[in-house]
Amino acid sequence: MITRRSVLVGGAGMLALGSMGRAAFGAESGKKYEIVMCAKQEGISWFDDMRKGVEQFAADFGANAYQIAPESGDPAKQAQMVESLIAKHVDAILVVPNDPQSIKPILEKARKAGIIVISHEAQSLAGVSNYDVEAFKNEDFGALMFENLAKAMGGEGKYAGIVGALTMETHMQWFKAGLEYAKKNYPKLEFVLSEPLEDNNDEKTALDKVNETLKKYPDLKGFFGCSVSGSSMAALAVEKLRRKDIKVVGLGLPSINGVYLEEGYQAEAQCWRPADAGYAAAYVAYKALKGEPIEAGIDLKRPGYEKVTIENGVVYGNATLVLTKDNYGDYGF
Amino acid sequence: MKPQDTGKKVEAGGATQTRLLARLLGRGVGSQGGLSLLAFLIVVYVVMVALRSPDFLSLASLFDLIRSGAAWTVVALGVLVVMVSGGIDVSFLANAILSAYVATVITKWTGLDSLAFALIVAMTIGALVGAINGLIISLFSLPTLITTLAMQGVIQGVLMVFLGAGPITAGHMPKSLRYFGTDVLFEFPDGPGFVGLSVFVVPLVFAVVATWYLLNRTAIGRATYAIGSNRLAAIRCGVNLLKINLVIYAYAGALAGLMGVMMVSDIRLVDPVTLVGNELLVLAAVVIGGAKLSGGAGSVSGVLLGMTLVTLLNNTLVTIGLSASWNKFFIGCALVLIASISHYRAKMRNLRQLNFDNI
Repeated sequence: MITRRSVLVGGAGMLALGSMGRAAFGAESGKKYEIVMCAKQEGISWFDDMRKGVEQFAADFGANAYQIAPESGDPAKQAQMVESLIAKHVDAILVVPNDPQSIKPILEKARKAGIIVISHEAQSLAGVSNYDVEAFKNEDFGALMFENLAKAMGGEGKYAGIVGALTMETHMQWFKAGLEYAKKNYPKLEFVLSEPLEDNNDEKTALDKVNETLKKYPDLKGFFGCSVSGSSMAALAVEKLRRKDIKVVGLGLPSINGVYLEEGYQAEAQCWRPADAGYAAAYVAYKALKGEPIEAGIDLKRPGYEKVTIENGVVYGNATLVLTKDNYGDYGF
Repeated sequence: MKPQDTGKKVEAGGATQTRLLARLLGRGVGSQGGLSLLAFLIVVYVVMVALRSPDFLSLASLFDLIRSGAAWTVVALGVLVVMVSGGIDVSFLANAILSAYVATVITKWTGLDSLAFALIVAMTIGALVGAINGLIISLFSLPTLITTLAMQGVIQGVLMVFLGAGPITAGHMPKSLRYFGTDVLFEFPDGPGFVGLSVFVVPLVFAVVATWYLLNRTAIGRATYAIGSNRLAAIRCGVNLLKINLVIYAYAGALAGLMGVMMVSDIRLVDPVTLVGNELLVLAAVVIGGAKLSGGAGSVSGVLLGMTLVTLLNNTLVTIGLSASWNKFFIGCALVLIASISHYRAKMRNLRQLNFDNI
């Protein structure tokens, strides 16, 4: 096993040398870089949209950029696919990992083989990958969520909210940053719970918890959801109670939350555009392959990524997409 | 079966035979005592919640409990029937989501946007899948747990691989299903909102009456208790195992299909990955309600009480200000308490009757 693996790595290393030569030569003669996005899962609208971004990049830059993904969101299958990309020796691998921890050694292997690796939605992989690309800083996203909540509520009143789980780092970063922002800027807002509710990303749990909370605090004026299930079920609970005076905001997708935005049960949903994130990640890889500098302020040619910031190997855009009744129909994810 | 196993029952004298007959004829032995204990626990819990939050004692809370627990109770009644027969079904939630998914797709595809049509399709598919369970279990005399566990995997595989099922979101659901989850039978204003009794109460009452009738008023019901009490004796009495298994597993499947449609309408999302994983919660509620994993005991009223307790625990933690982890703690405690007490009672009763079977 060990022998076989080291032979494989050694082999890949030799291939790497050969291909680097080819790449350098190819760049002069207009050879297309092969940049492959390995997404989480096939067949879901989020990654269908991301594919559009990757293909748009391919068209704009004449690169051989395309997207693959496991049929189900299986981390092992995804790892296997990245392995075969290494064996094929593509020029760059973009990855949205299902499980950042388990894919880490494989990405290290890819780097050793001289492949450019760009991750997305995996800040913990910064340093393992050449760069991790994020649509926004979590603190900014949380602050914006609470800003929109406060505005929808008219700047005052009681509110509550739900996260996936108190142990979900991203959700808690949004919540904490948002709570702090609201305390500073909207002193008349009052968060009625000691900590947010948890839905464990389960719709039925979310619906029951939100419903119970709305009943316990009949004077509630606002509700935020840091998970898609949380915000959509809060909107549904408001619809079931016919309480449009309760304003719901939170993480949401056009395909899921659109109907609630349309009918006015949700004031605003926010997310980021997968196509743009895919495009930006591909562009960072392309720049790295060309040897162009990747530094704060570079323009990745997508809305929100015109002037990125870079911290500890993470490239941040400012690409929060705020969905409202008027614009959700423009997006197909 | 082993000869000595049968010998013990068959050689017994008149007294044993009468008792055997009584057991074959059913009724969860001594379950009434367990149920009053359960009812007492529910009352204590409700009083506790009401002391912390007096608003809780309201019609609105009762209606919320009914809406929230209706779907779970419907599927639990199917689980009860299987459990009375001495079997255990863990495929029911996979079956529920498969049935609901296919019913939604067919309803959309045919353009027949009618709730009745969707329910018929879902219950038919559920019953077919259940019948396959029953058939396999009878033909190959397989343990029910293994068979239904395998069936759960098969169903999920079919959904993912063959149907390539992605989630169907609110905007793409047929209107009849979308509004099934929000419609109310009657309503009256209450503060800023309103109080209404969800239409879910209709399928709930249907399932309760049908299951009670099946178990208590039909030959199939008596045979189901008989199989669960003593499978071999039941066969000797001429019970057709294949027929009974087909009926009860198909019945449980049909209720699973009904529950699936209720659930996807409630959350307005048809997602193949939801539901599955909550099987133990339903099984726990049925056991809390007095059904025995070994079969032969259990009642509709027990399931209603068991589900009431579990739904109450699920829907009052915010009211009393506890985090979700307490839910598991409470359900675990209730399960241990009720299982221990009912087992202890059975043991004492057996000792009194000089029956040393299950000590």
